[in-house]
Amino acid sequence: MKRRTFIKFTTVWALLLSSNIVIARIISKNNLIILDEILNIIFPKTSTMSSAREFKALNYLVQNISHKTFDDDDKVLIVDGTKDFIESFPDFLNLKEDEKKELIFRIIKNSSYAKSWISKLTYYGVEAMFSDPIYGGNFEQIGWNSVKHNIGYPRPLKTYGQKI
Amino acid sequence: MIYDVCVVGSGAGAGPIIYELSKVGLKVCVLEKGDIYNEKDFSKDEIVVRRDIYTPNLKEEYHTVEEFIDGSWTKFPTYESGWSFWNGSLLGGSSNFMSGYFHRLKPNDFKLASIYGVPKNSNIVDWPINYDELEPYYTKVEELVGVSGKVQEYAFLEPRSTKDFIYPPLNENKIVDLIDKACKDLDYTSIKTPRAIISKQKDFRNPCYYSNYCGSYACSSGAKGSSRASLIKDALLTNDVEIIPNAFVIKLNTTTDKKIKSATYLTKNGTKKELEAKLFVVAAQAVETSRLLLNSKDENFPNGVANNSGNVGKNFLSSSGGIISATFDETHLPLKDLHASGLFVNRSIMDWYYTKEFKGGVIDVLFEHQNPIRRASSLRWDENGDLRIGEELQNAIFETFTKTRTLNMEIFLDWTPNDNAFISVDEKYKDKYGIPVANIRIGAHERDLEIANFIKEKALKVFEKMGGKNIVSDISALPSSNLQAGGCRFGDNPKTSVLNKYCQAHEVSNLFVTDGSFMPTGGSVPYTFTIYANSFRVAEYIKNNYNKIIV
Repeated sequence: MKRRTFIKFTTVWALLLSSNIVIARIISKNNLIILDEILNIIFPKTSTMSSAREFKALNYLVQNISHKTFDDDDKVLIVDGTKDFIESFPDFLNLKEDEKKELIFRIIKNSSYAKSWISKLTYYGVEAMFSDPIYGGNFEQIGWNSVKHNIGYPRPLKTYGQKI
Repeated sequence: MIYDVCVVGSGAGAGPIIYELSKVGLKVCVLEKGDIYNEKDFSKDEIVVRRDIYTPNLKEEYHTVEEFIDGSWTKFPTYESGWSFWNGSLLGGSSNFMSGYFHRLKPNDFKLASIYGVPKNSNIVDWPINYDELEPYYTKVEELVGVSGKVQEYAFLEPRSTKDFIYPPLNENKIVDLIDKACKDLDYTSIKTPRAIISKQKDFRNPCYYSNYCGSYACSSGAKGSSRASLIKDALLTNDVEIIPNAFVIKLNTTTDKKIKSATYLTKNGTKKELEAKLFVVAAQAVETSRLLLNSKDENFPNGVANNSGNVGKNFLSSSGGIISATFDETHLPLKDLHASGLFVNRSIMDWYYTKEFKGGVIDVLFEHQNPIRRASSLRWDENGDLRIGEELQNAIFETFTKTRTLNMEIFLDWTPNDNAFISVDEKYKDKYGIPVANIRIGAHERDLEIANFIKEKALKVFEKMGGKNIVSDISALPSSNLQAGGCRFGDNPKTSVLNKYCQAHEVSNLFVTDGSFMPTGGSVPYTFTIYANSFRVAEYIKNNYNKIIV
């Protein structure tokens, strides 16, 4: 195993250990690695914007996908889409970075299913970028800061509108 | 225990009833479908706005929307479309989340049929009351609920018993200078929009603190005039108000002398309970109010309570119109001013509220709500409908957020009442409790779209004059799900209306309806101000006649 791949595995393991068992059941370790790669293709680091890894998009998804308010159809599309993608492209993780990117850009042009799946990941990636850090994304407000967003006050002390 | 008054709901139609009747010592019980929240529970959390937190999960409790498709009316459950007609199940109802655009109706709004005649295929009628009868209660709302603004002269300014608002206008973003200049150049009149947001302290309510996230968010200072913050909290101090939260009223039960005896409600875990009172006031928001009445069938009212005339649910109203948007950047205003946090736009143009030929509408100008998730997620689609990801998406988000700001013009028009806009119930469609859900047939009168386009042309000129970029208009005859009225219109004739002029059911003497359901026509403005004012008017009537009513 190359060192770079090993680092990715340990990151995902840490994420799994910090999450509940239900999440581990619906998104396998391998699927998390794939999702992490894809989210970073959707949200790459640019001269002005932080990457999905920097704002912790995967962490956000794992923390919130099992919440009762997470749309059931979206959950199915994300989980099944990831499984189907792996079945269709079992060697994805072995591709070079440019090849991975090229593949994702190609499938959203050629498959409406892939387009729906990636669109949904993009939406929840945006939630991770701009939701309050209390939900597990927008690490250290990096999403808000990158676009100089004036946030609203007060910020939430609890998630999902729970009473104080 | 038998309460003096049972109020179903706690929003703008309920608050004045709860406030006024508890203050005269009547024992009031409020059955609220949602939970009780306080200022400290509210934050500026966009995830809460984007999920079903203060509204039911549509897969469990939905409505059907009936649209005319391929030559026939077809019902679509809202869990399929996500088009929710719930607007706030919590103490204070949807008034917690309103933007609070508080324009009064104008005298001619009370007599549209007399002034303009009745267009073919419409059910426009005059109101059974006139503006002068409601005016004192508008003034009361301005004081108690709290309306900030400044009275300015313009062609259709309604008569007022007070010279100006008690609360001065809220602070404004510098873009209003551009709007005012454009209007002046066009010979339009721009006025400051009155808002149900207090700009100075009122008892335990703190003034607006310019949170930057206002419309669609509950207020953390109590500045926004929700019925919870402005009326119910005060009423609770009388110790004559009991609020039962998480109480979903499913049926009103009548006696053989055709009075309401009790309300059956479900608790959070689905347990059925019954509550008795001498007088009932229903204010569950128009769609749910008609649903409750239609579902309250018994031997006295086989078609639903107060519905032996067959009028309940008819003549549903919303607001036609649409939205026009344009982007502005540093070529218009220094970015620090354009992006200044929390400041309001608060401009309205009412020059075409009336025209010689037809009733027109209102243009309200406001910044696009901050909501970064909604704004950024819309950027994932390009102009061709292709998915935008990668560096292109990241750059689009950065450029849009840091270099531009979007200004919207919302057009509000009268919804022309007609036979194809109504609320009904259908045994085929039931919620998780087995209760038939409300069906909303949303047929719009053809003239609504014509008038919307007339106003649109006027509005576009403002953005063009301001040099706005990317001007886009979305004009539609579809209803706004947060603007609901009609279904139990008031009138003098029991054969053609559900309620009398005091919003008392013609057929049930101890039943009143005080949300927007009573309105035969809605005016060209959001309904909440008028709902509050009318509810104060009805409260006054009940206060003065309580003993006679409950006999």
